[in-house]
Formats: sequence, C-alpha cells, structure tokens
Amino acid sequence: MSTSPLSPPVSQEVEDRVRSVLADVLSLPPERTKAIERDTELFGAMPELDSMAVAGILTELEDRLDILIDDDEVDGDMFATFGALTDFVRAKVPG
Amino acid sequence: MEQVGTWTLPVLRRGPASGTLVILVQPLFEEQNRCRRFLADVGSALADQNVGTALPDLPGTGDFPSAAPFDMAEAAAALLAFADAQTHPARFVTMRGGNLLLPTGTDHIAIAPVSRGERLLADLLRTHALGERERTGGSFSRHDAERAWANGRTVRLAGYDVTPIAARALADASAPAATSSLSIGSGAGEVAGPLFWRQADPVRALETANAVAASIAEDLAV
Repeated sequence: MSTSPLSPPVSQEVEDRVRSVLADVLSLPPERTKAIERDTELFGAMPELDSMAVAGILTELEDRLDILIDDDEVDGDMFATFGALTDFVRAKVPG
Repeated sequence: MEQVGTWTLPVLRRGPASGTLVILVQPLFEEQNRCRRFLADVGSALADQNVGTALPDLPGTGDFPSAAPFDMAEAAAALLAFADAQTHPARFVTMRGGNLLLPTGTDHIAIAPVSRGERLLADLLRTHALGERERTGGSFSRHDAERAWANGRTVRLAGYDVTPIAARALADASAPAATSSLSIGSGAGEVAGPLFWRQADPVRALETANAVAASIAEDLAV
C-alpha cells in the first residue's frame, strides 16, 4: 500500500502493480495471483470482487501508480478481464 | 464500559494494568468494522509481551451506546479525555484514519496511516456510488452529496450517516506526523498481511498482528 509511484512505470511494471493490488485487496493466495493472465475474468468470476472491493482496488491503484480515476469512467468492461483493467491503468500512466 | 467525563465508553482491555498503556485508536467509519478484530489481536499480542492495551469505542463508533451520528470533534475529545484519565503513561497507536483524531504534535505509532481526511471521504463516496450502481443501477456522485450537505442534510454513505459537519471536518482533517509508521501489504519494507480495511469480509491474520505488535513493543522499548 505504500509502494512509491514509479515515474514513469514501464509496461510490465504496471501489470505487476495491478496484479499486486488485486492480490492485496482480494487476499488472493500466491498460486491464484501467479495464475492471473490477460484473459483471466475478474468481475463476475472472482467472488471476492464486489463493489466495495472495486472501490478499494481503484483507490489502491491511484495511490500506488499516482494516477486519478474518475468514477464515471468505471464500468463493467474495465473489470471484465485482467488485461482490460491493466490496459485502462496503463493508459492513465504518463510516459 | 468505562465512564470518562460525560461519555460511557466500551473499552476492551488486555495485558497488565501497570507500565505504559497502549491506546489503540480504531479507523473511522466502515474501516473500523473491518479492522476491529485485527486490532484486538494486536492488543492480545502486546499483552503477551507484557504491554497493557486499551481499545475504546469512541462516540458514534462500534458499540458506543448511542445512535447519534459520528462527530469527529466529539470522538477526538472523548479519546483525549480517555487518555488523560489513565493512571499510567499512555501511548497512542492508530490505525488508518484513527490518527486524524489526534491533535497536532501528538506522539503516536501509525499503522497503515491515512494522512488526509479528504482521502477517506473520497473513498466513502466512491464505495457508496459503486454500491448504489450495483444495487439499483442508479447513479450517485460526489456532487449529489455535496449538494445535500450544502442544504444541511445528512447523507447516508456506505451505511453511515454523514452530517454536513462531519463531512466538512473529515475533508479538512490532516494527521499529525507519526513517531513511526507501519505499512501492511506485500511490498518491500511492509509488514506482510492483507489490507483488512479494503475487505468486506476480512480474513484473520494472527501473524500480521504478532509482527505489528512486535514492532510496537520494540518502539516502546526505545
């Protein structure tokens, strides 16, 4: 939670940080975290991922990557898969 | 229950009644519910190391015997009155936004601190907005809440009544500098553990509580 923002993070680092946010907020065991790939389904497929968890993930992403996410931008597509979430975050990160 | 000034506070005490007392200050709003068991475990772990702890439920929180909405000024006053009423030296250990209740310059150890109340308010609004969208399909924005507060109305956010005064106090609150700070997570330099305050159904993490307690005991010994 206190990982300092990178400036600017490279693509793989963004993916790693998104993965670690999911793992920390959802308390995923290491084997599940490692198994997450771009096409891994999130919302609707991960029982831990309710609206409260979504809010937590967004805030942690903002803190760790030094970005701002407008709630109006958040929709089901963004949390459809790990790849969609990572792409959304990557587009927010400068550089 | 312990009588402090005009308040009757539910207090969970652990460990010896002698020596320095650690007052565990809980997070605010919903985060309190998610972190309560963890802080109770930290208290037990400190007691095992012969450190006495107290975990009070401040006005408007937890099991405090009143349905009145949370008021930061009252909670802060009750916390300070509770500390003053102790017969032994007291040290504050805060978790998340609990530090926002302390006056400037107060020594404390902060667990996963939030430095600005505005961040917590934004989090509350976001959680409520996403919950509303999921439950009803309706939209709710910060603008809706601010309009209600501007008209003197209380807004129920994620299960809590937030009065205009509470919203303003939270938005304006900033935490004093901590004597030391402990982060929880999976990153380097952090105490390994889950982010309890983000989880609807937090897991129990005794190892994390033990590690945090060990670090606090070490700080107290210096």
